[in-house]
Amino acid sequence: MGIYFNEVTHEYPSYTKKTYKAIQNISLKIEKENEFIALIGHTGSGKSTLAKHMNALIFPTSGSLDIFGNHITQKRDKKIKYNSIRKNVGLVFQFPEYQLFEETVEKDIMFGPLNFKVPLEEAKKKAKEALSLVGLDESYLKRNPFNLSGGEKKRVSIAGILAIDPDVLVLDEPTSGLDPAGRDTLMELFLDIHNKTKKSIIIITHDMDLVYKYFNRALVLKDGELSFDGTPDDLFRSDVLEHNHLDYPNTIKTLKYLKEELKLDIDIYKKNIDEVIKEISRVTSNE
Amino acid sequence: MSLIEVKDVSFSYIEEKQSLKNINIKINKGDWIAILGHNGSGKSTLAKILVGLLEPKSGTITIDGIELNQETAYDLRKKIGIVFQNPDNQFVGVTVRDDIAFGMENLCVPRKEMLERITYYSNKVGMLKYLDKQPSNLSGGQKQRVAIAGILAMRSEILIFDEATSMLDPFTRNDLIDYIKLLNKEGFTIIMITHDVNEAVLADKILIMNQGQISAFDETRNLLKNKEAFEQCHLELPVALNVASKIENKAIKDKLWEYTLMK
Repeated sequence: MGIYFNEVTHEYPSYTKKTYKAIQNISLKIEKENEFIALIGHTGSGKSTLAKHMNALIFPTSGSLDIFGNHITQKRDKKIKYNSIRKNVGLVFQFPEYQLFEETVEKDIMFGPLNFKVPLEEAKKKAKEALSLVGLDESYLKRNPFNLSGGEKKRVSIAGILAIDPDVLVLDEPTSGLDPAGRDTLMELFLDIHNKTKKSIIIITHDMDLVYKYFNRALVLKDGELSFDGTPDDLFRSDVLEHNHLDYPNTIKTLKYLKEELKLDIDIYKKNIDEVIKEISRVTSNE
Repeated sequence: MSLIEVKDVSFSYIEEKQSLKNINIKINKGDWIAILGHNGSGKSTLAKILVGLLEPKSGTITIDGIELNQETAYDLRKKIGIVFQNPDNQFVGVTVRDDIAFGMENLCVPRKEMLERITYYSNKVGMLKYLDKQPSNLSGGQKQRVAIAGILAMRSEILIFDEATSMLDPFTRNDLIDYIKLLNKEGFTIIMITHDVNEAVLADKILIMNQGQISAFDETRNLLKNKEAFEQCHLELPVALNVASKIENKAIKDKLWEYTLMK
């Protein structure tokens, strides 16, 4: 079970041309467990549209999806309980302002659980827990979400979905606009949830350092089509990035510079700082 | 004389918590300043105060020798353009074209020139073929690009980017950065609020904010040597410098510094 795309195309209306194809002919299988996927691609490549399909927030123009056994086609089907799909797959939006709407942070986070018939007291407890998971203390509960800073809003919107405890998490650029400490805390949180529960997590990001460091699968979209599906390591060793307006992780770029400038016999494919330092000391100790 | 002078500025949204405490900054014409700081450290608040969207509770802002207040704000805003964190906060037009035109209309730019600038700047940010589209139908990163084009088209001499590249793909971001470098060479003053230290090192000076106060403000080269200033505020150094601080080999260390400060 999981999220299966079968030749999915999605078109948006447009002023000039009749329609605009955001994604084209996507076939893809994401299993319910054991996947930690980075979804990458240039701006406008269809990442957010693909994400919105994952919990049937929008319907395909052609093709179909199987989301946790629910067959999703072009039209709304009365037999399908869409509400339960939202419990299967939780989606956190790119802009928190699209998602936040309540007067207080607490009410906002409780909204999801209450919708899924969680009793009030328990929903309150869940709100508190979710808030602390994303690194905000209880003093935020009574605050108005719209008076928070950009990064704080982002965290509250993530807490709102964590409180629902969905089977699969889809997050659209959860770390953009966060400071490095906040970004790392959240990535560690997602990884921790994934490791403890095996739940699959799909994250849209432009940060190649994160892609290399954390993920076990990378999907690359180009002009609405899937142009790569494999491990980050294979991705960065290939020439896919150059054809996709993407960049390499800073670890690779830094090591590549050293390799070229100092003519070092060095392996540039290192995922994090510790690996980079190890590789440099390996090379320098040989001298 | 400094182009922008911030003197003893304090601000608070709610009484219990001061968002900015006694900020003093001088920015010269043609400077490129990067502002780093954790979420909620007051970076965006400072930006809003600089463009007169928020009024400081105390202290003064002087731009080009004129004090910013209710009477002067309208004229001074022509000198400052700001691109917000969330582009939806600034869209007004029905189409991308209208939206880019809006700022110029307020500046009474002649129609012919306006059309030229729309073509030029939408092309600069790679959105030329989207001019007839509705901003609301664009992706997050595309919206950011339109918002940037709209501000660039106004040709304000001071440009503030409030995490304006946070949702851009690396290629578009590099392209925009190259263009900002060019603007800066032409004499535009750039203030860039960012969480990306790799972007910050391109600036001449880095300002670090922490809990509503300035915790460091120095030439980029000098500040990068001050590892504590970064650690204190939970900020990270660029990968290359982080590595440099943990190895012995001098030749490699030097190269890593060279790589970081390459423009």
